[in-house]
Amino acid sequence: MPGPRPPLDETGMPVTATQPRCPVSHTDYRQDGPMLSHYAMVEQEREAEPFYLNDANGNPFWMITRYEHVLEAIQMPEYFSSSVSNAFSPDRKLPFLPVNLDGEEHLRLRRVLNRWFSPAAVRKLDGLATERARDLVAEIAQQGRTDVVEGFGLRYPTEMFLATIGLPVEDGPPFLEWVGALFSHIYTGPEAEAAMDAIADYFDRAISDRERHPRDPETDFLSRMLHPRLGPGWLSRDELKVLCLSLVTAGLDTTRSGLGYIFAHLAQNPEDRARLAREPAMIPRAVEEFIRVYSLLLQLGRRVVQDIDFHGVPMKAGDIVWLGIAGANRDPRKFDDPNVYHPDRENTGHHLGFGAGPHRCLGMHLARHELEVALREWHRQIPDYDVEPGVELVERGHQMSLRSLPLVWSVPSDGR
Amino acid sequence: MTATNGEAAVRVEVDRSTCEGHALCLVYAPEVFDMDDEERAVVMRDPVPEELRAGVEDAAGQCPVQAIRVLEAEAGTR
Repeated sequence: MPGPRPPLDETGMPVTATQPRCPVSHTDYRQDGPMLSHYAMVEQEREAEPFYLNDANGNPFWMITRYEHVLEAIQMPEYFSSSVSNAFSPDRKLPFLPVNLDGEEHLRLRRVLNRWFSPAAVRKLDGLATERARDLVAEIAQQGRTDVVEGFGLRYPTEMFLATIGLPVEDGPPFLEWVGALFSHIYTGPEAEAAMDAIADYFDRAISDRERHPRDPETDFLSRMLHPRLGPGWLSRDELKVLCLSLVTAGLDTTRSGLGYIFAHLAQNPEDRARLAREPAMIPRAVEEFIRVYSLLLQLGRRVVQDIDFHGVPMKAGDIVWLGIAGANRDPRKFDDPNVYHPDRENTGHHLGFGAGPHRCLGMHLARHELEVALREWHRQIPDYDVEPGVELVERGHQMSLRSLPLVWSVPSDGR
Repeated sequence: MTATNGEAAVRVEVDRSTCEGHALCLVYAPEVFDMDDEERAVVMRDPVPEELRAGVEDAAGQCPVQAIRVLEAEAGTR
């Protein structure tokens, strides 16, 4: 009886016939499922095999499933190019900047960008970050219920992002609608495209404003990016717009998703919640462990640029590779009891939630800080809460996020 | 060199060619580490007094790229 047709290589040979030792995966990770179901899928495949060829979508890709190999590949940019950064969309028309650059081109941009997202830059925003978190939580606290991923979880990172690049936090509300539309379908479809256009227009106006009225390049991101000192042609106007769009796509949904999983965990694990509220000093460790255990990226994509025999897998230039971040972060070969949140573990910091190597997450310091401040300020005002009874939590596939997270808590009756 | 401080317990080194700027050392031992303009860790306090030993050892263990070395002050640098 006919089985599924194996994918063919460039010469028309079935790939499974030429690489008998690499099993084929048909798992489609782009579908929604119950909360944590994608980790279970990743775990099942990781424990069965270190490598697969996945043929679930039009473009087959190699899957690297275990920590050791993922870390190795992520630190081999000379073989694994970032010109593809997502194994599901190797043909995306618009590149992300500096995400999709390699080598010196990438470094050139990172050298200028790093400063804006450095620990020192984040520390400077601490006062504003704390104040906004406190105010936003105070608004919610009296209501007795909120959807974290629709509301606070997106609004707070959006405001902090705007503040980081010197744009007014008051621009948050329209931004929220665009970002919500952009991510509900992972950049595809008419709604997402319209949102992308609206965000591009927003940056276009902001760039025009700074061209006419430059501000202090030490404190204003766009003025700095447009500053003549960086040399003519260092970044075109269009490239600057793409860069801003890339920062939006990289920084807002991820933090929202992170807050979603963290609050879901804490709602469902009262003892972890109580410890966090009791010992705010442990919040940074808790955040790091949450980033490990609830990886938002299932994968980072890469494009092979030189033929390589990677631990027996014959990868050819042009092939697409899936670096299994979520699976690596829960690999029992690396982390004891890997599916359990354990903030005191000794090697939490070795997680790949922010990637590694030259492309490690530009916004990781900002993200950590946002998560820490959000957790601290929330639990000061709302120490106890539950997931709304009867709600089934569903997560988006592809790039994980809870579709909604309705939380409820009791408000003293004289609260209003 | 010898420790100038009687309580000095450990010496700490960052391998700048290995450091990728993950900055977890700032989480575990903020009194000892900071980041420089190239986004690599720098040691702000060396030798490190006994009361900060645990933080520095944590930072070394948690460093994603194992770029931090902790040495006993008495043993000096290698």
